[in-house]
Amino acid sequence: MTADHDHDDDHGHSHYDTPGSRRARSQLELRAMALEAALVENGVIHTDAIDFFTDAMEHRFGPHHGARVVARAWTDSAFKQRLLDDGNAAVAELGIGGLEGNVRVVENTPGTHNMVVCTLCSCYPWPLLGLPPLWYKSFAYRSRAVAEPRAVLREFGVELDDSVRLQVWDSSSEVRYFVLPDRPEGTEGMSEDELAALIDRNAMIGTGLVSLP
Amino acid sequence: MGGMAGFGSVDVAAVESGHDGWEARAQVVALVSGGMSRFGIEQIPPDKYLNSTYAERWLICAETKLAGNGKVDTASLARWKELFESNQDLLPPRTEDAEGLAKMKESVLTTPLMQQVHDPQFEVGDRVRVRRMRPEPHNRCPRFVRGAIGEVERVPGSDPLPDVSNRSGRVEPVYTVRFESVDLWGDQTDSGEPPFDLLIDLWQSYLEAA
Repeated sequence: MTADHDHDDDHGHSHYDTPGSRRARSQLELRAMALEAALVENGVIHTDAIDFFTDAMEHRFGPHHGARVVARAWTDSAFKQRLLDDGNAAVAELGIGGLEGNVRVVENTPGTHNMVVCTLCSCYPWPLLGLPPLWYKSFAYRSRAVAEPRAVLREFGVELDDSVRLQVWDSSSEVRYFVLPDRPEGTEGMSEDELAALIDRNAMIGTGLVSLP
Repeated sequence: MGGMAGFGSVDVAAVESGHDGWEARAQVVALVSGGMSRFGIEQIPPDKYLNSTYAERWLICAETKLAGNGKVDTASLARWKELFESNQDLLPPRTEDAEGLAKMKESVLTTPLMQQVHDPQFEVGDRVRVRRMRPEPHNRCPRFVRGAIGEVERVPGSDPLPDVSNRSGRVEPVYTVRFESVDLWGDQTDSGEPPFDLLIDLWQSYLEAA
C-alpha cells in the first residue's frame, strides 16, 4: 500500500453498529454518536474527513507495515543501517508514514532488549503499528513497565536472562519508538514475506520475541 | 503514572475492546473537532480519570471542551442522544467538504518531523539532573524522573514546549536522557528485577547541568 492509495469503498458509519444487527448501544456509544451528530450539524466537522481518518487508523496503518519494515531490515543490511540512522526516511522508502509516525528504531540483539511504553498516555507509532492494544493503554502496563519491566515481560511470557541489557523507552515527546526484533535462528533461507509473517505486534513493542511457529 | 503501585498484573490478552469501531471513530471526532488534547484529558479530576475507560476519558474531555467553547451545546447533545436511543436505525447526519477532506488526507499521511536544534544547552554524554517542579496540570516531565540524574543519549530535535504554561509556543531542544534504574527505584535485584536503563525524552527547561 502506498501513501497515496485511496480506499474508495464507503466505510462511512460502519463504525457504529449497523441497523440490522440490533445490538443494544451502550451509553458511551450513544454519547459518541451524539457528539458526532451535533458537530456535523453545526458544521464544525464533515463526515467525509472523519471517515477518511478513522479508516486510516483502522486499515491504512497497522502492524503489517511494521512487519514489512522488520523483514526488509533482516534481509537488507544497508536498509537496516538506514533504518537505525534515520527511521523516517527509511520507512518512507516503503511508502510508510503519517501522523504519529516520527519514528526512532531501536535494535534488539542477543545481548540487548528494548521495550516501549508511554507512561503519560498511549503514544504509539500509528503508521507502523496502527492503534495500540488495550493492554498498552492500561494503568497496569503504564505504571509498571518503567519500574519492574522484567516482571511485566514475564506476564507476556518473555523471560530475559539477567545478563541481557534491558532498555525501557518512555515515549514522552513526539518521538515514537519502534523495536527492531532480533532475527531468530533457523530463518536463514526464508523470503521477506515469510519472515514478515513471523513478526507480531508485541515483538515490535518489545513485549514479545520472534520465534518460529 | 510511571511507578505507581496497585494496578495489578497486565491483562496481556486484552488487545481489542470489542467495540473498537466506534471508539476509534470517537477519538477521531474528538481530535478533529479540537476537543481532544492530552492537556484536556489531564484536566479530568484524578478520581474520575482512574474510574473511566480510555474511550470515556476522550469523550469526557471532548464534551467538556466543545461545550465550553461553544462548538456544541449540551442541550443538542442530549437531544441527539435521546434520538439515537429511541431509534436504533438512526445514524448521524452526513456532510462532505472536498477542501477539508484534502487537508485531512495531507495531515494524516504526513509524518510530523521535529525542528532542527539550534544552540543546545547540553550535548550527548552530558550529565543532567531533572529539575524539581510542581507544574501546572499538563507537562511532559513524569514525576518519577524528577530530581534524578541521567546522561544525554541523543538530541532528536527541537519542539514546542507542550506545557500548558507555554502560551508563547516557545520551542526548545528535546533530549533523550538515559537513567539507571537504581537512580530511580533503588536496587531491586533481590526482588527479581536486576538493574536496567530507562530512556526518556525531556525538554531543555526540565533539565539542569549535574
